[in-house]
Amino acid sequence: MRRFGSVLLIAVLAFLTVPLFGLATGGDWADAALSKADLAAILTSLLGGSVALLLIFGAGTPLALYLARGRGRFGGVAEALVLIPMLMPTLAIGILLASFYGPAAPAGVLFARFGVALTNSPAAFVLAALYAALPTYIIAARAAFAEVPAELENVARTLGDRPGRVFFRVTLPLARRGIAAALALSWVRAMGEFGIVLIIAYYPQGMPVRLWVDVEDAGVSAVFPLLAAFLLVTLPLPLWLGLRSRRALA
Amino acid sequence: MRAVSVEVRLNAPIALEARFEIRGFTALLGRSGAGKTTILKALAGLLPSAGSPWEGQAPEARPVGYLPQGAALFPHLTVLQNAAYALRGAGRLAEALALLEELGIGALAARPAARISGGEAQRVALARALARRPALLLLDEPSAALDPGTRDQILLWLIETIDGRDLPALAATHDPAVAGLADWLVLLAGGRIIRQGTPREVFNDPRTAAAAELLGYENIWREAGGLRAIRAADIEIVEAGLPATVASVRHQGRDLRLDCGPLVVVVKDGETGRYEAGQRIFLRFPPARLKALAG
Repeated sequence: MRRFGSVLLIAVLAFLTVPLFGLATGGDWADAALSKADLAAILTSLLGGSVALLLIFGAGTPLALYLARGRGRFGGVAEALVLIPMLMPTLAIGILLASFYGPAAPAGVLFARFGVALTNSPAAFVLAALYAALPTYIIAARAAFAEVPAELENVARTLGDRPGRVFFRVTLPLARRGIAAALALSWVRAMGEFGIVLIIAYYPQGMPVRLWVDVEDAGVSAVFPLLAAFLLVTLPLPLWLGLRSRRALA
Repeated sequence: MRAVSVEVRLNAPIALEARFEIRGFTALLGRSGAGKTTILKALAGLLPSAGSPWEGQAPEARPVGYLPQGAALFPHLTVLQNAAYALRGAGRLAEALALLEELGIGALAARPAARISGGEAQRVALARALARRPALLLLDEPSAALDPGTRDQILLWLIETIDGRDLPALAATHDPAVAGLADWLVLLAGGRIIRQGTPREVFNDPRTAAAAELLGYENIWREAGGLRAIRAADIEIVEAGLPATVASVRHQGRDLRLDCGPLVVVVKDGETGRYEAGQRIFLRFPPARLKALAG
């Protein structure tokens, strides 16, 4: 029975790791190189993702803190509103966003008046990343803040700190590992986003769309250099931060 | 000894209306759930409440030092950084170090706050609160996180240090032993203050059944003349007196605890074998130890 358990365990872990072997065996590495369009896609993803991540941290942190601490009537409603975009299929979000922010839609017209086009523009790319990653960040950051004992914040206030100062001197430092993991997770969501991007930000092409186009044009084996770059910017840092925050909890 | 009069009124999390004096090191004795922590938090401004002093002021504006249960040191800081938390300016670390040394814990300064013992943490929490020069200290169950071996020693050190600075302090506790060490004792039950006075006065004359229960009187009963209370250890076993039957015998440390129907008797240094279940004994209540209660 015990041996069967170990075999099953190894089989599941192997099943999960198999895709990585494809990197070594599947690609056409002989004349491996990144095209100009590939480099542009990497740059678009990194820049757009970074801007989105800054906005996510700035806008998502206060809401995560409210959800972690607030016991108000509005708390349950707020949580449901955060969960809805996270649970919706991303393609559905993309279509709904196109009909809300599109050039003919009221919101699209409004933003266009300030010179911001929210479809097929850098702003649209950031917008897609926000919808893909903000809910993930809020839920993960809320869990990190909930781990910080409220009593420590109370003590800091009796020691003369206003709530804003308490946040930067006590809450954030104590939640830092969980917040880092939440940022890493939302970075992965933003980098990997395909469904929303496909509808509202086909241009400028980020890595996922570029990979899709390359696969269509040249076949699977030709896209391995860009695929490797894609995995490099999404996988190692989040994996490390995730393991670190797991260790901190244990 | 400096005194402060306080008043706390609130409806949530529990309904409470408390008016009392804080004189020197004052113990606020009540059962768990009676609202002791609520009163401390209300005085610190951490719960919305009406009353005096400082009504309507934010916690950071009140001259109050708050030591929650278990000391609640900031675990991401060193002992020195904890002690210096409330201080501002270039000399803050030097000032905090001087305070730690004054309290005899200068050697801990560089240690991470997460890696010191409960007793040490209690001292560091005191230093951290004192650094802000508060007008009142609030301590929540100061004995809760302490080992039995060092508990009384650390409590006495806390009380003497606080009294030495002529600083009024209010310590919430459910432990009559802590209450006995205080300069002034306040009893909380049923959402109000039922008694206050020096521990000697209050322990000697509980006056009500609720107070007698809080003070650890094991025996409270009603007889023709009204309510009576006596401590189990104060009952004497004599040759002729009030007859009683031993229902069960238990060790209680070095003592013996006899369950005699409605009464509990503790025999100091009692030897096993002298008493057994079913045995008939005679009890005497020394008049000075038998308390008459109102109601």
